Amino acid sequence: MEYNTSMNSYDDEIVRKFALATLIWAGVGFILGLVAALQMAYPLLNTNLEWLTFGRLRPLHTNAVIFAFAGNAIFAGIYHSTQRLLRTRLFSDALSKVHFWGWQLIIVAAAVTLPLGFTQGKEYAELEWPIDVLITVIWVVFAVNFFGTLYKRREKHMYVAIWFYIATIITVAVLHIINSIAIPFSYMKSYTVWAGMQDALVQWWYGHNAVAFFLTTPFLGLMYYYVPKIVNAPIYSYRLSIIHFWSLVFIYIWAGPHHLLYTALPEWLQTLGMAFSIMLWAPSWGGMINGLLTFKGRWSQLRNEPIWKFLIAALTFYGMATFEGPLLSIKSVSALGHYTDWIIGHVHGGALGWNGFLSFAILYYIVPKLWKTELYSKKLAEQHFWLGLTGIVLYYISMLVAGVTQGLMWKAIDANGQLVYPDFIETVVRIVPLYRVRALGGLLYISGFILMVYNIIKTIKSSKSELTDTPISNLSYDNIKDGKPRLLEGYATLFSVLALLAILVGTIIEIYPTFNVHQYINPEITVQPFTALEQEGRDLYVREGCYVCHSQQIRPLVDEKLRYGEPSTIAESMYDHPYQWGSKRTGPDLARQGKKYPDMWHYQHLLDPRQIQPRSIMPAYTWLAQKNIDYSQIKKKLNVLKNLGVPYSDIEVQNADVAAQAQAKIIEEGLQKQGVTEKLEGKEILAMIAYLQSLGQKEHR
Amino acid sequence: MIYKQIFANFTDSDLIILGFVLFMVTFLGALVWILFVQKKSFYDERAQQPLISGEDYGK
Repeated sequence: MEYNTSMNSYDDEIVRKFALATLIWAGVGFILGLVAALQMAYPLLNTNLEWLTFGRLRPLHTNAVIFAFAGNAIFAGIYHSTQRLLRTRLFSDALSKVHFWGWQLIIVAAAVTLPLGFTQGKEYAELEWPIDVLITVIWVVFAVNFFGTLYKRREKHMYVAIWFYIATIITVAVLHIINSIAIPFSYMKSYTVWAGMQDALVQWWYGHNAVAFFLTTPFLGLMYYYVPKIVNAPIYSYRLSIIHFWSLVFIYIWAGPHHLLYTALPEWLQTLGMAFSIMLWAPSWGGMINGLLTFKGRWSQLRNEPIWKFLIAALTFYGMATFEGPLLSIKSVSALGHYTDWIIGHVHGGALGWNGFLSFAILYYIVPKLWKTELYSKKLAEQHFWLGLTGIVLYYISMLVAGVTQGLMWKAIDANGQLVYPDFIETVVRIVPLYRVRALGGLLYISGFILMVYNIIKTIKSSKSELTDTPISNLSYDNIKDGKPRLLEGYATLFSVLALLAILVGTIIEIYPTFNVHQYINPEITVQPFTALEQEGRDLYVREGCYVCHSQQIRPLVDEKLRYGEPSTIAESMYDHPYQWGSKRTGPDLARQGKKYPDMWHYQHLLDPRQIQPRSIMPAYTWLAQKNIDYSQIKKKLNVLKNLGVPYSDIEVQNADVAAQAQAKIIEEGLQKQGVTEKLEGKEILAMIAYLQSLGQKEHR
Repeated sequence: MIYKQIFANFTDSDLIILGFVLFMVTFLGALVWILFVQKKSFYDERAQQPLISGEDYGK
């Protein structure tokens, strides 16, 4: 490990690299989002290519915007601000380079593997095990570089922004490692060790805290640094920032179960998730108020400063999202909003407004400084702001209306106690026009971003100075050993340990009791695991990203019982690695789909959904009838699942491939008797049909 | 009352009440320390950190 001996200047080169990467991946992520949005409005845009279906592109979009765009923005901002707050160069130039190139390699690996269908089937954690390992390595590199910088700082007091960076680095490591634990059965495929209800809990403990500690805490840290810098005023209340930090970090980690309200998750967990999510409103708004009131007495300058507009809007969207989140976490509200596009609207208000606008503000601020020039055009930045804002408003309002419409239509019951809209397609057709409005909103947002890219390119090109690192002034001043007392914020190690403890409390209390899932299961219930062919079909379901549009979790609500059947139980999914409860119903719930329709229905529906339902927006999966099942992997898969606790016998594992072929033959012959002339021997569609027919059929009393 | 509903779902309400009390005591104690015990001038200095240029250090 190289120890940088040049302590006289800040490393600006690494910040320039991360800033440029932010812009590049922002473009990629936004365009993918627009494509995905258009695919929902115009389903033929899914094409007949398996790599471009919505189910495969949506995870690519989420990974691109969260980890590629927001990730690079975080690193640019953290490296820029940390050096200046601690008055020292980064710990190691070599580690900085490894961090940068390693992170870009992760993004490229995601861009290649996700469209190819290599996915673990868990939201925001889709990347398969080799990339998970790489993420761990690069995150450790980042942590060593950051904490090493902290160790050799010249300023003993850690400003509040640094606390948020510490919490981010520690918590993301814990989240990623625990959620990603999986057993590989090939170079690019694995099964998560968690199953069913426990996987759901771990997934959303991770998933919500990916929002918390990747999209919130690092951006709050950046806010606490860049708002004062840009406005040239201290943060409104430093004392409020202390209360804000510790409350936020402690409370956030408990909020995950609010994604699982009215599911089979134990009631006590749902209640905890709801209660802590509502409490979270307070510290979140504390941060928002702190940021907004820093502008106190300077509001008149907002008129002339586009960067200030981005900051104010970012903080406002943060406030909106962090009010709406607790609201959606109330069980009765969740009963309406969960699975609908309201959640999508909520996410994008936060992501486009808070993360996007704050990133743009920071880039507009630091790029001229890093390239030692002036911003090319404030007018273009102003136009970017208004285009972006209009885009966000269109996006949010269309999805809010779509979501509430869906929720109310799903719940509508007439005087006879029957569903008013028994056909799910009626609810889809009603909101497709709103998908078009959403796509327009996204297009406007991208248009504003294109103006930004032009502006930044012209700014960089106008730079005539040599790009040397900024010297650290007054090097002789170092208060580390001044002997004066310091508070907690002066002790990096103690602070970091306390931050770790703060997030472990909620983690342990929520996750540990679920280790024994059998305490929640009626002992009179037996659950059969999937047959070898059904498991193969399940893996195809995960590969195609079907969970992105279909849930498998019936809630104990009147309308859901009428539409889908008995509510889902913990037992039914106890052997599901990964769980596939889903979080969105673009299409209907599939938990009790098994034996509802004949094999022929599924055959026709998978190859061309519009043959069964002309108004369907589901992609066609024609390649399922052309690609062969890989029988060579089936024994290995069942062996891994057996080791993870799925009750397969040794004989079942030994004969897995033979049994799978036999079951496939039965389905094939059945289809041929009904008139299918295509050669289907060993084709993937047989496995997918087997899996779909097994849904809801495994629990016996 | 909502807190009774929350606690009713736990199997060991004594432990939960203890945890709740510990949490509230910690939170309120921190609040008192930050708002009333520590000097405001200390926090005002900390708030200036992003704005201080290198030349101002040590003055």
